[in-house]
Amino acid sequence: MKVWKRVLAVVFCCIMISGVTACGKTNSESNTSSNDGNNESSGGGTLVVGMDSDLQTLDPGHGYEVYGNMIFYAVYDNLYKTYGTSTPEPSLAESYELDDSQTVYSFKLKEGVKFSSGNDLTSKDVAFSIMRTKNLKSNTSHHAEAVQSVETPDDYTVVITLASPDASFLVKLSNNSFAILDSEVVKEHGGTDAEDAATTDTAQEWLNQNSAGSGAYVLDNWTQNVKVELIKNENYWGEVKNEKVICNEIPDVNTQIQNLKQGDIDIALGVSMDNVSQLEDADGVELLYAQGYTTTFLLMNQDPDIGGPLADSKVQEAVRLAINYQELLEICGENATLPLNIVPEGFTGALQREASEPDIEGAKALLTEAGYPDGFDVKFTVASYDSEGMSWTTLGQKIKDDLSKVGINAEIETAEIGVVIDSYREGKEQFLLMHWHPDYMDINNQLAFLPGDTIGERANWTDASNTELEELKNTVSTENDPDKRAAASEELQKLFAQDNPYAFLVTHPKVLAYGSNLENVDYYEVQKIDFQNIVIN
Amino acid sequence: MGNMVKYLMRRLLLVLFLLIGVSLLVFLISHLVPSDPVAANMSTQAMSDPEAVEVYKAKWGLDKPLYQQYGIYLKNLLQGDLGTSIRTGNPVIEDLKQFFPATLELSVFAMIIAIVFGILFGVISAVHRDKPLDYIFRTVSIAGVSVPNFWFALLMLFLFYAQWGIFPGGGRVGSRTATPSGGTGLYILDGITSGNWSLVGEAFFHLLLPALVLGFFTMGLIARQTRSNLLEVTSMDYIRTAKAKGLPAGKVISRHALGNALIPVITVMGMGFCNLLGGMVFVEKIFSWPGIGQYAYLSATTLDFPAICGVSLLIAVIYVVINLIIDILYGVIDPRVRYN
Repeated sequence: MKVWKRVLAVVFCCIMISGVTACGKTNSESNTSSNDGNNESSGGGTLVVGMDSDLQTLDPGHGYEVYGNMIFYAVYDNLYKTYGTSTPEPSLAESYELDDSQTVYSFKLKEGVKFSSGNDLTSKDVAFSIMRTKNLKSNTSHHAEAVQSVETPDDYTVVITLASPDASFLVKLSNNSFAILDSEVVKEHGGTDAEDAATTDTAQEWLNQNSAGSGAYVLDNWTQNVKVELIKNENYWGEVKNEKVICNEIPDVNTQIQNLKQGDIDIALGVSMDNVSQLEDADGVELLYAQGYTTTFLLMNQDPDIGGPLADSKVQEAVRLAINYQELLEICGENATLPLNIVPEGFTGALQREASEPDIEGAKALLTEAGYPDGFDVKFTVASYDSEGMSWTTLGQKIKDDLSKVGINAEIETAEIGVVIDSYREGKEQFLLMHWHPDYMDINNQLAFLPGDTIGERANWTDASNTELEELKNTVSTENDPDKRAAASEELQKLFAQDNPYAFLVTHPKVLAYGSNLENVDYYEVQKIDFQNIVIN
Repeated sequence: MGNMVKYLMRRLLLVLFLLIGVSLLVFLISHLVPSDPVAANMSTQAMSDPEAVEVYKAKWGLDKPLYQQYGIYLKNLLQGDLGTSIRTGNPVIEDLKQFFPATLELSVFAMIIAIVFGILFGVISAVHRDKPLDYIFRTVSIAGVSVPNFWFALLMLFLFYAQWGIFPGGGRVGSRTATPSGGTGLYILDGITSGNWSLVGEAFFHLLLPALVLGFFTMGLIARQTRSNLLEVTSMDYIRTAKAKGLPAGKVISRHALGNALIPVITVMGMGFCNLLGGMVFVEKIFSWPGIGQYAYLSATTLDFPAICGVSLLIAVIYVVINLIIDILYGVIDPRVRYN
């Protein structure tokens, strides 16, 4: 018995000693990372990011999650890219030509680009990648819906034919759905671009653990809900500043904040307006208030049987007039903006609303004209959710207060987002707080709000009799001349503002917190962080 | 012994029916939620493509009637196939194999902490009844059963990590350490068997704080139960006799009173372990612990039916096994209990 006790004591001591050593090592690593200027001590060029991600796959043909874009941007290249701008810049493509029909794009590819496997990147890889995405019929396939064919006249020329003109096509090309994959490697692991790819392609499992791109990094390992580890692509055609990137899954934002303060992570992606105050005076931490693109809006159902009084356009305008936009801006924090309607700031031709006081008298007069001089009661659906950390409950309460001043009694009903999304999609919501996050940085992505389109149908706004609006929509979606397109976009927003079943609230800002030992940190809504340019001091 | 074998067989047969019942219940509840897994997992814009929606539904069997879906599920279950997770795209059994070791490691350590400190605090309280030490340990154990674990987790993380830097702040290993691969997934065990002592130390220190938080409730439960049982036992005649014979107080407690006082505590341990699994979701989220709790939470929020059913079955099996072990332990410890 005594011998057993001694053995146990020795084992326990060994664990304690090795644990103390390991713990001490962790702390010293983290302290040097955030405070001194030694690159070696910050993990030898290892950038550590904390995030609460929703990653479901790392196959760019299937991936549609918010943080997936960030990983795809690091691992894969596209023909064009849109980091930090809504104007596409060439990446793998050197130039393009568009024919008179505005449907045939001829791209000249950069020569000498290699995949991480060592294979040359040629036109056959571009054709394979685009047709694979189209035929997978997956989450991202709708981006490639307009692609009719992809031809490869030579190794460095790609000709893409669209079914109809699409002015946003170059912007779409920067989406992960158009990431260029090493066709040889992907085929080896079950990938196919055949028409029946939806049922025969089996490369996703392999692509979840490996990458087949030409980007700055190579996927080294992904353990779902734990971390994504990327290592430098030795065959990369550009400059890469960091040897390794580790993206740790840290679901609790308070833990992320503490990890950042202690230097265990270099960047915290989960910080929001609600908790930024914890970091405002923290030593060794910098805050970046970036332009966001997620816009919250109120949906008022156009079907009188569902919308009731809210189906009346005068009531809809009264709701817009009753909102105190000035106070909304204050609630949503620095860098929040007020879009006039469908186009958020940062997009070409975006128009903004003035941060005005509410027009109570104007709203009451409209309600009287509509036959509701004493106002009315209405069910107001507000899901338990947030936009960039801004609680919808807080926003909903603010809207309720504003509307009560003109006699509209909005009775808030809360529900889980999954439940609300369902009835929203079916067009059954009477009065709803919702948000919209663009897939790609182009106004075409926002046209979903127009009558007969995706969101329009959810508001039962199917009346396409406004031919002027229809014409402007066509011009915006197909016109390739940037000036003409921007003018049409502005005109469309002004016309849209006159009559629509929405009240657009706020485009929410994004806060990024990072260690002050980092340089060149930038944030862009779609691809988030560009790892390769960050310098660790 | 024959009775014991019969008893075990009967219990195991009941477990089978229980699992079928659990699977049916979970299946029905998760499918009756007024929400759509297609909406939860596909993007708004992807859903505007009916073909993509059809492919998605066909892929995950969502296009079939509910009874058919359950029939397929049960048939696969009997072959050891829990289906494929909609969210992760992996077989659920593989996901459980990946995430369960983290939870097992954490819950076993939490349980060790709960039992050791629970019994210790309970005995000290009972021995020093109504004295300062009793008040101190009673306060600790009452705090254990009444403080919400997510609040306690945040407090401990703030004090021991952010303020004092004694313990690491979340994760199973350091944020800059590569994820260990291979082995059982139980990092401490893997470290010991492979002689990787640095992994053992790192994993052990990352484990302490979450295990302490997770075990705090059960520790409080055990301490309170131990104290009241010990006080009851020490008032019995045979203890008075032992004392009258001149045995030292320590021996009276350890050799004569404690054994009998701990019998009801075993039930509390079982309850405590099950309760500990319930608290896992918050603790795993706050400590970035990639275990079953987080997996269950993410599966529920994305209406990942196969994963929800898989986790529920696993938890049900653990409950049943724990209760079975406790029933058997009763028979072993207390000869008065017979399994007829």
